[in-house]
Amino acid sequence: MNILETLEECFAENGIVINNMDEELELDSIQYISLVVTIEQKFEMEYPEELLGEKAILTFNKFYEDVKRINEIGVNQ
Amino acid sequence: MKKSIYNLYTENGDGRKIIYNSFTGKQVRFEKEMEKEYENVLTDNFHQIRKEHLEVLMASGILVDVEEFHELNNFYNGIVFNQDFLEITVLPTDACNFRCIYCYQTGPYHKMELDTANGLLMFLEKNCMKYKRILLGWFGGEPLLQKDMVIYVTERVKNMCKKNGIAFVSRMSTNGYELDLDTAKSLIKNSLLFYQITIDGTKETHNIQRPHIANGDSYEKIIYNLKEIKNNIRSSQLSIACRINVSERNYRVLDSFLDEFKEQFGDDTRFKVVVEPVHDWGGENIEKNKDLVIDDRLCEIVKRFCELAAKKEVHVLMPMDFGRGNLLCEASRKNSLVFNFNGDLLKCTSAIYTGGIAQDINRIGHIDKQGNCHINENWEKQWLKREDDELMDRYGCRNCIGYPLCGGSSCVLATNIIKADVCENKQRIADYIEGIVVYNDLTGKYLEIA
Ligand code: SF4
Ligand code: SF4
Repeated sequence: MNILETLEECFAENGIVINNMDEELELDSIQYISLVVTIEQKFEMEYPEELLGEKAILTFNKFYEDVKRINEIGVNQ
Repeated sequence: MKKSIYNLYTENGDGRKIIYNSFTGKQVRFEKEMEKEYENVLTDNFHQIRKEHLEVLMASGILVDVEEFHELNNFYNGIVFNQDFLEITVLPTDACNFRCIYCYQTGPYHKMELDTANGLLMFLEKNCMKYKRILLGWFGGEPLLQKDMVIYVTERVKNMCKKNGIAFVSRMSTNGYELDLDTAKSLIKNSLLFYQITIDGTKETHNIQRPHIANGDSYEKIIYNLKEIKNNIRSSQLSIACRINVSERNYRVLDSFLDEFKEQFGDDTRFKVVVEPVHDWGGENIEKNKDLVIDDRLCEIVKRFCELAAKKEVHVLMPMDFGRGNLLCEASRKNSLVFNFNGDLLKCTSAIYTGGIAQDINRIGHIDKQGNCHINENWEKQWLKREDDELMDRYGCRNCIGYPLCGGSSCVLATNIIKADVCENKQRIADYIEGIVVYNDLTGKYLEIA
């Protein structure tokens, strides 16, 4: 499975429907935490704090770009 | 335009005026030369306020053009009767391996049997798809005395949620003694991410206030466990709140407690400190140790704690940190239940030992071993009563600075069941707000009118 498909699976496991990849996600705190944990576990990484600050606009694409970047630069290596 | 009814007007140690708004959690500080603007707010002289300052005051909720109370009331009705969210707090045992000198639990002790836990799992199998989010809490006694059961149930619920597309998170109040690295890994893997662990000051004071039944030094073991977790577990969403129950006996070591915390965990924002004064939580122990109770000095304690923590740059977790709804009592929500070791469904963990009618009304039903849920709706209703004008008037909720945080239901045991004359949380919340104002001011978490 590639990054995109794995990420879609993370969203599905948390019941988060993606209508548009750039649409801002309306997540409450439980959905948000559960989603981030699912992503961290599936991609075996830890999300850097600076990428999830209060001001971050959460969209499917944001998560996709973050995961790609973390995988490429190996933030957690 | 008008002033928010949820503003606190105060000043800092240098005499600078401050307004804190409990609806938005925002704080505004007025530089000395701008005191006139502060006066303009106080005297409703809004047309005299400079445009750029008006923007700050509106953005922080200090000046508003909405009916805040109605907005909040709708918000709270939405939370209380929310159908998408289920919160179950499980008490797998009322036994404990500590003998804290203020604890209300004194035995005889019980533990949950496997078929009782399976009853809960069957109930969830049958009903989980009704919900979009599930929060599973663990409380006790000491829940980790039933470690295998906690891991088993949490893993099963997590998998159930994953299969059905339900967001899932779990949390636990534990003394931390049995939270070794392997246990923590098994729990965190299954989304048990939030821990509240009490450390009552330094090694000396902790071991006096919270002695283990056999080990005279429980402090060392807890700190060792926490360091192992810090150094070996990578999860950005893990949160460990280290709570200090402040009494007359450990008040003097607040400074050293924060220094030690900073040295051990200060570089990891997942670890935070929480302050709570020792309270009379009931039971025989506190009767023998009445001198511990200093909650009449809450404001002084919280302010000192926040000042020290801010100066030492220690991360603090305050009751209002999660904003609106955070101080709404769990028992006031329709889909929030406590599952006791014997299969009983309760509303409030504190009403288990009160005796009398409150204890009876607290047992609103049970889940049988086949996973069927039986609820006494008449008793359940009493915990959910909202928008009761008589109640709101009795406690003065509408204009209370705590209303944005608790929605008039900060403790439904006191208000709906016992029908206390006054709301004790009114002053409590105000005291915590005074603390957070100090913390924000010293850590630069404010907007400036300069
Ligand atoms: S009086 Fe008590 S219940 Fe009412 S809003 Fe204030 S703190 Fe909440
Ligand atoms: S009813 Fe009061 S004592 Fe019971 S859980 Fe709520 S706040 Fe706590």
